[in-house]
Amino acid sequence: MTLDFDQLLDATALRQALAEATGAGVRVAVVDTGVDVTHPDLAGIVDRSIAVTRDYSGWACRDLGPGLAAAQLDPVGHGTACAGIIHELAPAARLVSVRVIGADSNGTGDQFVRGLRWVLSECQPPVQVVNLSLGTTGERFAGPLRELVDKAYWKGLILVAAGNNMGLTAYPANFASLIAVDNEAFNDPWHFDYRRGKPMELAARGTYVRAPKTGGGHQLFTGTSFACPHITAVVARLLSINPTLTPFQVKALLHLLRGNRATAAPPSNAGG
Amino acid sequence: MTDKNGPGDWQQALRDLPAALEASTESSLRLLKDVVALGVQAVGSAEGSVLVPDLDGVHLRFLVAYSPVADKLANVRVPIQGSIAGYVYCTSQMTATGDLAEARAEGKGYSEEVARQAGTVTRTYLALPVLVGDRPRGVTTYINRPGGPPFAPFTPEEMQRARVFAGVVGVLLRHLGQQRGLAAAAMHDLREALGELAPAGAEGGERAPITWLRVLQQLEGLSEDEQGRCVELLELVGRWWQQDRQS
Repeated sequence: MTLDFDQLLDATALRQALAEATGAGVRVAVVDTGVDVTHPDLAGIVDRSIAVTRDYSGWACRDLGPGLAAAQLDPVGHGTACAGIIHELAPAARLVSVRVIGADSNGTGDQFVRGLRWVLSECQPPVQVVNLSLGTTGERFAGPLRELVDKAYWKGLILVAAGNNMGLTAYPANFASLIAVDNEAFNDPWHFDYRRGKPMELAARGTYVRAPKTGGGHQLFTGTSFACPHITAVVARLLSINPTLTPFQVKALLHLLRGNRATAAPPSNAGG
Repeated sequence: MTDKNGPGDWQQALRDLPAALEASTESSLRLLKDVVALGVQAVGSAEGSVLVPDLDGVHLRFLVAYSPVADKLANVRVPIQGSIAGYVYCTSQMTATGDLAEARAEGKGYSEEVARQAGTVTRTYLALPVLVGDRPRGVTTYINRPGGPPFAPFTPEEMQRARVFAGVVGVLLRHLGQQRGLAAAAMHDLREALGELAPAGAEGGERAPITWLRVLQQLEGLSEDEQGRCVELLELVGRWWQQDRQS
């Protein structure tokens, strides 16, 4: 079902369409520690995995070839958990893993900037949504990140970023043009609230979320990092209803959906 | 340090001064250990620790640990690139994980490797960045619960308490760093002042490190932007040097 923006402004129609949507036709970049594509939960859903690594000319993006072990793909497990949450809530969305922290890297803001630049300018076919469950408090990265976030906005690419859970000003979550997410101890994976006037405009479930663990099995994860993919999944569903939605329109629809509950989505897709 | 036992004793007392100066930082380290122990109690964990960047720049090491295996942890290095603690250090984001009651996953990550090395099993884990200003200087962790598993996950209230302790640890880490820097600089000056009384081998080779130490102290006083430009400059020189070596 495709609905135009005006039709989606009818809250009842929007909730019904969201419940039926799956994220089909939408590609989501997960900029994080990598994704363990060998995990049974994530088998076959990641179109491409790249890593930002250092070479003599600076930071370079290289494809991670097939046959890598779980710990080589995501040595930390953070990105795998985020990817698992997105897949659970938007099961038909395709993922692209962009590793900016993890093996062969040291997790600097420079790598993050390079990875995001790759997503915006070099990723083919392009993604429509970017999950940024990470950020930096380094002021020197604020300028380059703002430039990229604005560029994404004008391109129509939806960025969803985790706010800092230590109360710090972190980038890119602090920029108003993207969707910044805070963590709440909601039980319902579809429940999110709007927070007027806060840098983290939305609060979603991010406390002890069951998600895949690198190497197999599952674990409980807590932090704004794990609230962020809940909203990313909702955005993927919205874009599968209408792929022409702009960041401005997506924000308007998320505002309309504030206070959303599981009744809007099929129980079979609800996270545990 | 009294002169009551004759002229020879004052010389030995002066020679002992550098060691006494060095030992003065131990009290700050003990204070940090006490705060970690208090944090463990307040957060309701079984163990706790403070990790700081190792000299190699790619690992974290345990500066203090409140744990039955604290001695073993002193020798464990945690890779910044491949661990939750490293992730927390890089991103300044608090992260908590907990095992599911339904099944103990077959772990292959670094936490399992640390567990193997130290002889513990991490099931409930809370890691917070230790910040000085907005700059990460380390990671503080809380592990498991008193008693046996299964362990309840840390509650939001306990996490809030852990945030308070992370702030306190940040203050103490900064203090410890400043104290160590001052002690090292004073030790150098003291050895110069002692002249021929200084223990053999105390001279030569000390000047270069102390110069670097003072440069680092000056860098610490710069703004973050200024420090960032220094990092960029060093990276540029490093890349140029690597290219020059290759060509």
